[in-house]
Amino acid sequence: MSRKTPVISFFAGGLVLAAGRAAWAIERFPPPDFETGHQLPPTERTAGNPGWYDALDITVLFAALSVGAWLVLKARSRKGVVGLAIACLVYFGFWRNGCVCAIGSIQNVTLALFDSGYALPVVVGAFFLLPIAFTLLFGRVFCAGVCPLGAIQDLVSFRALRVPEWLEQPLRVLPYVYLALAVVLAATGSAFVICEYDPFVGIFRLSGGVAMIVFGVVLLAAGMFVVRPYCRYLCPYGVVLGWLSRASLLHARIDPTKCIKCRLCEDSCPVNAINLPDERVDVQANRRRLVLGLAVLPVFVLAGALLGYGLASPLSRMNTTVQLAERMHAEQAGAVEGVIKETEAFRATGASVTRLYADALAVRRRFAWLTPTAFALLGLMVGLKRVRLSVPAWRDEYEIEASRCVACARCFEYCPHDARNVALLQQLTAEQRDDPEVVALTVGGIDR
Amino acid sequence: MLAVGVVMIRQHALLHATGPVDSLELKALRERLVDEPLDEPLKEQIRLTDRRLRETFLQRQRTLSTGAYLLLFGGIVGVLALKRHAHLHKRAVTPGTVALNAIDQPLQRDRARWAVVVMSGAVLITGVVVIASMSSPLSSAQLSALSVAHQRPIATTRTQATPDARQWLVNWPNFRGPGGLGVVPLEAQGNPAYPTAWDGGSQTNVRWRAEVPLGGFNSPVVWGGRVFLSGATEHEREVYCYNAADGVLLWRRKVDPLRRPGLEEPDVMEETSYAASTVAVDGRRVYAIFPNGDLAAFDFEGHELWAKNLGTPDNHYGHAASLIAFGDTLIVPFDQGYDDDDLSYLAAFDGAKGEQVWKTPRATSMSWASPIIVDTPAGKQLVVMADPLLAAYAPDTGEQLWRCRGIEGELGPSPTFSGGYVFAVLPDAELLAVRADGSDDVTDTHTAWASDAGAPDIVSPLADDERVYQLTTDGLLTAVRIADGELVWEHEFDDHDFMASPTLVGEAIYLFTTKGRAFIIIAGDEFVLTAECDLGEPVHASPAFVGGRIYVRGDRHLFCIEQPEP
Repeated sequence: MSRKTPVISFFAGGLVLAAGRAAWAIERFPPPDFETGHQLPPTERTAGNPGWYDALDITVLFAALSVGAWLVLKARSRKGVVGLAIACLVYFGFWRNGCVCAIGSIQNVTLALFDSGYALPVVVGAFFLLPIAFTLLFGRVFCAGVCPLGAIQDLVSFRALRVPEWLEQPLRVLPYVYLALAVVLAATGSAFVICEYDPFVGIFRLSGGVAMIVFGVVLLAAGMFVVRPYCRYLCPYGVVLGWLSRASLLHARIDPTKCIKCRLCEDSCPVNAINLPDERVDVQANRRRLVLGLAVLPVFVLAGALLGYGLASPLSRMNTTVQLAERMHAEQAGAVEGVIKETEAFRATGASVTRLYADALAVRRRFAWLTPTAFALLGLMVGLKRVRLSVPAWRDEYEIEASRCVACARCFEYCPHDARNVALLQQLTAEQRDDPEVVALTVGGIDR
Repeated sequence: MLAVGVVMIRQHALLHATGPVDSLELKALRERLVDEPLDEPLKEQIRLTDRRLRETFLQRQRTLSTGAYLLLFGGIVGVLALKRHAHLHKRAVTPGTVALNAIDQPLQRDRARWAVVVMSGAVLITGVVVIASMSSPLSSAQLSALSVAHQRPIATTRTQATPDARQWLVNWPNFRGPGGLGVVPLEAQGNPAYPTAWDGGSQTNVRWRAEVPLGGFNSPVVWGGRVFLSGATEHEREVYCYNAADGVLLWRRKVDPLRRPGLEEPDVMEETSYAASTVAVDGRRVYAIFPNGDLAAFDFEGHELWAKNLGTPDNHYGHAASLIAFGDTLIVPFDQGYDDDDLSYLAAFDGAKGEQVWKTPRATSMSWASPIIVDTPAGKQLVVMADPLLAAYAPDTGEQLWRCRGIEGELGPSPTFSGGYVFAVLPDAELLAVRADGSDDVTDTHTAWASDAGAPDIVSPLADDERVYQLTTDGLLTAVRIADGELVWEHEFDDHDFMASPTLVGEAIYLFTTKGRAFIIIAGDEFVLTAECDLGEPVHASPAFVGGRIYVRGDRHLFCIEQPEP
């Protein structure tokens, strides 16, 4: 069997899985439409999850986060993190069908903030807050192996390619865009796009739309070579955790007193989270770039606000009230032929159409200020990212960039100061230990 | 995995091609059944085909489901194999080359900085494309204009308390007043003196006269110092609210609910008008219905609460039955077509929201008679008549309480009630007296008598404690004794035509001719004419009597007649 065969089989299988399961899941048909004398049995409704399920979910989440923190910070065990990822993937992913999910909880929290009529479920609030609390304390241990979306991507990676910084940085703008869209649409009660476009929930449930499953399979396929593409280039919750992890108390660090600058961790990190020492800082040039970066910052903010202003109308069309109002108006004006089920049902309610238009206008007005605000903030974040790239921090030691580090624990396996590696290195002569190449070969090659 | 995949792709393709919903085979058989509806073998063939298709469909679904699990399992094995493959082919780290990254850092950052700018530009361009291609066809300015009725602060709406039983009596909430009986509850109103003399030409005792923008033969209703009525043409429908004190038009609202595209226009005779149904009020809301099935509710300040179209009723003269409110529900009689068409129904809607509260289908033909609500010892009854039924319903549930068969003809006159009897006119035929204390079919058990004296065709009858008065369109007025159905007296108004129904005010009966002349007679065992007045404008609607004032709708004006105290 050639080396490529298993890869091709995996892709083909995934795509077929997408098509087949999607069809299986969404196909329904009505009962016979003529009299046969057959009495249709009453429709059975499955009861919702029992209340203790929520408590169990919260307990499992808390336990998984605690174990994750211990594995990353204390045990420094990559194998342990992988084990945790498998367990959480099975429980939160395949068993609990990917819902409730901390990533999607952003939308629930946003809606609760903007709509007093929406009560935030306790379990959703817990899924939003617990990862944040653990991130503030221990770094992104949630991303390490607790999040089923991160876990499934992490587990399929096998030949990680390093994404160059010039590509990594712009791609990391996309989660900000996604976050802005998700917040605007959730705040207006229009859509939970993070859930609607969750790429892996279809795989967890073995059902879903074709596009959804294909998207998930494509991401997994990409994830074999580019570790965690969704986490790095799309995940809006990752944006939040990334900000907060900068302030985390105990996230994984490189001990400068022990670091021998062997550069093994640098090469082992698949998410470019190891910052290299940089002693060639040109202070004058940095100052010029800083001034220029700050000067153009308002341009980014203004461009974002203008873009948001323009997008308010198209985005508002994702709101069902606006959609209904548009369709009603088109039907009334004769711009379209026939009626659709939604308009027919609306007519049957007898609700006032002027009230519908008033409601749609109210939604549109919310979009009118929320979208420019969100996109102005997006512009600000992108502008600041540019400023930060212009003015690099001076450092003479290797450092883990907390905002990028997903606490996957890969680097620990290659650190000569890892307890297991210390034992191996002790078998070397002093001369051999001074040779980085020998050290590298001793602690192992790259096997991700 | 590849083999499983091929099988699944085939099953997926076949799933749609042979599903029971889109099956051409089944469609063809069904089309044949339309032409041959009694072909039993064909029906059996359809059943068998349908069953076969469903079984095949479900089998394919099961195959796909099994295949999905196999693929998942294969995927897991594949990933493990890949991992093992990578482990066996691990490469040695060469830190020396990695170190070059450190040297490249400033260059990498420069490129990244510009790449971020490029990405921002790409986001911007994508956004512009989205704006250009997906902006809403309904601008905010249009929405604002369309929703103008709801932009007024609702807080300005005067809060109305739930009306008590007395308020239903002192006001004139629907066609022919409380209960729809044409009897002024003088005592409840405080025994006001109603005018017995007026002259439209000289404006004598005419407190005010106000123009009505659009015509219609519906009658005015009155509540809380406001007079409501509707008007319409073929293309416009409106509701009006006047100040009862001075006749100022307080508001005028169009009724233009959402309708199914292609809604059939109603056939409306000139004699019926496009606004024949009288509006109804419940103390907080006014409701109006029109011959095309438009139904709307407004609060007393003119805010539209809801509006809907019930579909154009099949009625060859035009829908004319009036609305009546019961508590917070609006009752809509919607008899149409013929009794075997299964089109007729009686429905109640929540007054505030317009949601249907109940709906009772009726095997009846189109009717122009309006419902009445009567008090019986057993409770309130909603009485409705349409060929072939006179029937009573519980107004809060729509449950039929009793029915009397044999009601025939094109029913224009509404029923009335007195002394425990419902009186129903079979146009140009007879007057029936039916006791209202029965249940189920009372045709043979509760029909007290039938009188063939002077049955009208349009004007509704009027009853006092002892007699039923009937007035034909061409002016024959008869009094029939309630006790036995015998004719008491009759009088012919020569050269006068009548469309408005008579009203009993104490012992006086007010009659309005189509030319605007009014006769006031004494209700009794003899015909006694006490007064004649002239409004000076044709009258087709029944007047409203509230607080000593008579509100009369002429062809063009709404009149308020009030006689100053001497």
